[in-house]
Amino acid sequence: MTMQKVILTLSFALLFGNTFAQIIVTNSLNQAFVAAPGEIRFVDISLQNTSPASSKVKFSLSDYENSCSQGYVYKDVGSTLNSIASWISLEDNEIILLGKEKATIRIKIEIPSNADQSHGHACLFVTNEPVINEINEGKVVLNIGMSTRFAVNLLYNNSTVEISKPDLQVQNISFNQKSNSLEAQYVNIGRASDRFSCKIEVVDTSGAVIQTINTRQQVIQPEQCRIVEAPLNFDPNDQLYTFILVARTEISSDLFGIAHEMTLK
Amino acid sequence: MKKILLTAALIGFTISASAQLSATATQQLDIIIPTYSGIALETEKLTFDFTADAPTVAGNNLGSAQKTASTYMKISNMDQYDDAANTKISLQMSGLRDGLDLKLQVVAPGSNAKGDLGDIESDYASLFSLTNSTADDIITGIGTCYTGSAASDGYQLNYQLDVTGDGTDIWEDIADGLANSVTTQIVYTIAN
Repeated sequence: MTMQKVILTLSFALLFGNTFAQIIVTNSLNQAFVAAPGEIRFVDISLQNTSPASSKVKFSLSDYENSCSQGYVYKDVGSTLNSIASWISLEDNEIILLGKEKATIRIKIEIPSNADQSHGHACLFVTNEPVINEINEGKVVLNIGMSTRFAVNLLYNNSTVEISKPDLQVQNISFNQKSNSLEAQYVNIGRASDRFSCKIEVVDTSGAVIQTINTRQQVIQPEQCRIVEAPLNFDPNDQLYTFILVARTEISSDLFGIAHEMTLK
Repeated sequence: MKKILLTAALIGFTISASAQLSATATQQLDIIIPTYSGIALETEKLTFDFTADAPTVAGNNLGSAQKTASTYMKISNMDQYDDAANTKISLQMSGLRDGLDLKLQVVAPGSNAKGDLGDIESDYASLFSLTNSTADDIITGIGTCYTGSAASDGYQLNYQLDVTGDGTDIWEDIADGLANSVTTQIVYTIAN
């Protein structure tokens, strides 16, 4: 083996040996923005390659639909009702991040002046492409490539539309006996994305509030379902309880309350 | 004497006030938490090597028609604006040739993993056949967590490849390099 071949082999070993791509997105995977038709917004996505090896990162747009049973259902660009994919332009479709390198990708979103929809969304896939292209000649070998990607949701609310507000409804409330917690499924039947948290009071048959739970904040998009989980700190003991749930949205500052009676076994 | 008393009283008040001020001084602490999501595979290529399965008796098929491979998927997750455990990982496969059946099992990470690691979907608790083009959640309910970054940290992904039927066409394709990584891809997506 010549010296050149040795160096080449070592180089490949360093690149593809035991190292694996470690791209981290240092932003939230939900990027919400409010704008009026005719305005331009910029969203910055920050990336970091935490491995010492170079890594290829590709960017692509996708549409999606929210489904309570399936979660995000990804669709071709332009195929969904409230798509904003056509408003988006990217600086680059692909970058190479050197080992330990950081980068920020700027997304430009031009809201058309005649846009009359109250809300919309699109997904930016940030894909860490596999660097696999060798074919094992002379061997009966099947290779399957694997890659990872981040789904960054770009969520638009129209500031000029009065009805651009979230509307949260409880679809289902159940008791998880295994984790001793209450699980409430909320759906947003409104026309805006928002963040919400819940205050839940548990009242026993004597009318006493035996526990108050403040749940953590989460993003909810139109037609999206989110589960609110509230751990209980008492033994239910087959008794009847009343649960008072008040959800509060952060951006619109709306309150959505219900009371629900349930015997916990 | 009055002046002395007044001066003494003022000094005492000043010292007292000064002591009170220092006793009630507060220090504001701002804790800034970064937002990040990381997902990585220990290896980006699954290799199923049938080379050693060549028949030793004329007339036989290419040995075992079943192979296994494993890797680890590592994640780090924290979202300051969405701190409920809503992050999930889904899988989508494309380009698997007819005549091949690829199954996946997901095993929870070991003791180096901390935080809300989510739940493995019941289908994938044991080997489950993957279907071309169908996106499927494999881990849901991920919150703030990390799995560790050592070679055997993270969710263990166990694959099993079965060659269905007599396999002759597939063996030819594999030997010709037609059924390799260029055509078959598995994408893991992290979303919230």
